[in-house]
Amino acid sequence: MSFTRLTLRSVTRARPVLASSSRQTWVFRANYSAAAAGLSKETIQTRVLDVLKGFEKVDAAKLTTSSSFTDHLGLDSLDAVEVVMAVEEEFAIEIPDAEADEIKTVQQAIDYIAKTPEAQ
Amino acid sequence: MATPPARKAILDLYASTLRTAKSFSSYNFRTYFVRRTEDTFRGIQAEQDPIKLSHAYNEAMKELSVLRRCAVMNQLYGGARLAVEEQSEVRT
Repeated sequence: MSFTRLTLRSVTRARPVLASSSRQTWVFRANYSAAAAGLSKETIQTRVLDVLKGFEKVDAAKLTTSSSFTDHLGLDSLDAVEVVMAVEEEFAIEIPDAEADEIKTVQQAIDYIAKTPEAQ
Repeated sequence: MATPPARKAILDLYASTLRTAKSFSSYNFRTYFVRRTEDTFRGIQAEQDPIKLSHAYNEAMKELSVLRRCAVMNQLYGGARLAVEEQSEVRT
């Protein structure tokens, strides 16, 4: 008697656990696919511009997507490295040195983030 | 006669040093090394003498390897977050 009750209990208990775990994997998958779809252009643009506004040397009035770090925003080469690193931190990615050197304007930074699926 | 390091080499070194400095998990070490790295490289930027420049470059190179080891140790034994830090964010 007690044995059957035990087995019954274990069976009934097993079901909801299974159900919840399958639901959890579904949620994870949903999150993953949402991240894989990438960020919208507008989100990337506002976030990159916000990062740049955080720099003391950058004049917010001159800040547009087409501005070059060194030519329009009055930053030197060391500041440009810092900007790229701040962008990396904002989107939780790591840009290799060779490609980081290529990023010289705000637009190039936005384009790089747009074509990087890991950015979040 | 030492040839001065290339501009690109200095910028790459700056990027790696700054990245290492930012990887410290204790707030005090992290902010200190970020500030120190910025100061060191501002000094290198202002340096005109090619011999002093390559000296400073080599020194910064040596410091980077030390800093990398320290950063790893600090990531292992970093301790809890300070009250001034954001609590919810997970550092990787």
